[in-house]
This record gives sequence, C-alpha cells and structure tokens, in this order.
Amino acid sequence: MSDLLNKFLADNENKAFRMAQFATGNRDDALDIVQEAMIKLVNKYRHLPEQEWPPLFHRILQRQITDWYRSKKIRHKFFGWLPVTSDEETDNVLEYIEDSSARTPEIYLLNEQAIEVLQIELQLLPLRQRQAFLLRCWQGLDTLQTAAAMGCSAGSVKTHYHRALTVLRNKLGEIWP
Amino acid sequence: MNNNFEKNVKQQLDISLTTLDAMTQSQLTQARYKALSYAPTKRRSNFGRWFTGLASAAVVALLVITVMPSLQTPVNQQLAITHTNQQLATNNQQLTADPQWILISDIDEIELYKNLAFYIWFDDTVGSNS
Repeated sequence: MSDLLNKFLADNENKAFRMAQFATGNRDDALDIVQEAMIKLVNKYRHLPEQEWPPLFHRILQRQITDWYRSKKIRHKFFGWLPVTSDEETDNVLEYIEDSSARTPEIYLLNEQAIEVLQIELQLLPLRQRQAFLLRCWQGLDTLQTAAAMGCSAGSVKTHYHRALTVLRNKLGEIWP
Repeated sequence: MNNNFEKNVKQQLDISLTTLDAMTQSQLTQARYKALSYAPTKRRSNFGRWFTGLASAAVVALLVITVMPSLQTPVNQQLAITHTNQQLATNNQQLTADPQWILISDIDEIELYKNLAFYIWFDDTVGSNS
C-alpha cells in the first residue's frame, strides 16, 4: 500500500506543484499546498482503492488552493496597508524555471519562451477558470470529474473552461495556432 | 483549431514538468516522504485493539477496586465506631436497668451468689479468729 501511494504521489507531485504555482505565483506557497494535499490524502484516504486516489487528490489540491486564496484575501484585507517586502516582490514563478533536461539550446529557447508566456497568461486567469482549464486540458479529467474536483456543477465547469479557453486562444493563438 | 491549441498547451505544460529545478524537486520529494510518514507501515489488527481496550479496562477496574475502598474507609470506620458506641450505650442502659441482666452477664458474680453462704461463714470465721 505504501509503495503504491509513494508511486502515485511521485507521479503527481510535479504536476500538482505546477498547478499550485500557477495559482499562487509563489514557489514556497505552492510547496506548502502540495505537501498539505499529500498529507491529507495519506491521512484520510490511503485505505481506499488506488483508483479513487486521483480524483480525491485533485479535489484536495484544488481546495487547498481555494483556501490559500481566501486566506490571502483576508490577509490583504487586514494587512494590505503594510509595505511589501523585497522577497515577495521578487518571488516570481519565472525565476524558478530551470532546464534540467538534455534538450538542445534552440528547442530550449523556443520552449522556454512559450512556457513563460503560457504561465503568465495562466496566472492572469481568474482562479476558477484556471482550475477548470488545467483540470480539463492538462489533467485530462472530464466535465463531471472536474466538477467533483472543483466542488461545483458541471455547467459551471463548462462555462469556466470555455471562458478560459477563449482568453488563452486570443492571447496565445498566434504562438500556437 | 481548438483541439490543436489544447494539444499545444498540454504539450507545453508537460514540458514545464521537466524543467523543475533540483531544489524544488528535492523539496517535493521531502514533502512526499513527510506525508507518507503519516501512514503507519502496518495496520493494527482488531485483536490488538481489543487487547488494548481490555487491558485498559482492567487497569481502570483495578484502580477502582484498590483506590476507592481506601478513600471510603475513614467514613466507614467512623460510621462503624459510631454505630458500635451507640449499640454499647444502649446495651449498658438495658443492663443497668434490669438487675437480672447484671447477674447473668457476670459469671464471677454468679459464682459469688451461688457460694454466698460459704463466703459469709468464711468471713465470720476468719474475722472472728483474726
């Protein structure tokens, strides 16, 4: 059981981290969110069949991200008047993009540019649109599974996804026709 | 059109997974191990749970048996002493009220009364001689 769980988490941790990073724009917050999601999955659902882990993990992860947004909103409401520290100003998602693969420099440059643009546009999307887009397009969940992960109706998922797709296509359509 | 666009986006996002820096990758691995440490390696059997429960109940019962009487002893003793004293006082009152009880209750005195004639004679004889 522990080996299966370890493999499942290892297979999903990078994607979960990227999703959290797109949402928060902050590496440390993204790591905290992923760790918390992992702990909750292990604590509460490790005894469930392996097939049930993916939707549960995505649901936990999305809830963690939503909670992060709420706490950020509250923090901003009460402490928004405080000056922003230099660490927060420079804590940009793009700073941590680093190539560890063996791609050629040309491909690297093209991909890096594309990923940077995509990440910026994803970060500019509203939370629910980004969640719907990433879960549907990247994670490959269908509408009902995405609705379960987001805790909303299938109709809402369709609306969010369509809006996100329209915005991204308008912005990135020239790069990826 | 849309399908191609979605495929391209998905491809770029997949590539972004391979570009995580070593430090982030290491921290993610640490986070995973920390999460897995919350899961017990071996699930406890039901027998173990029952045994633990029974042992706990036995310890509690033993404490109740040993501690509770010692806590209640002074009260019991006081009650017993009070009751005994009251009983004795009542008995004494009954005994002193009825002379028959005095005679019966004291064996020496019964012997004395049985041989009363002898003691009177002995007293007279010894007293006159002395």
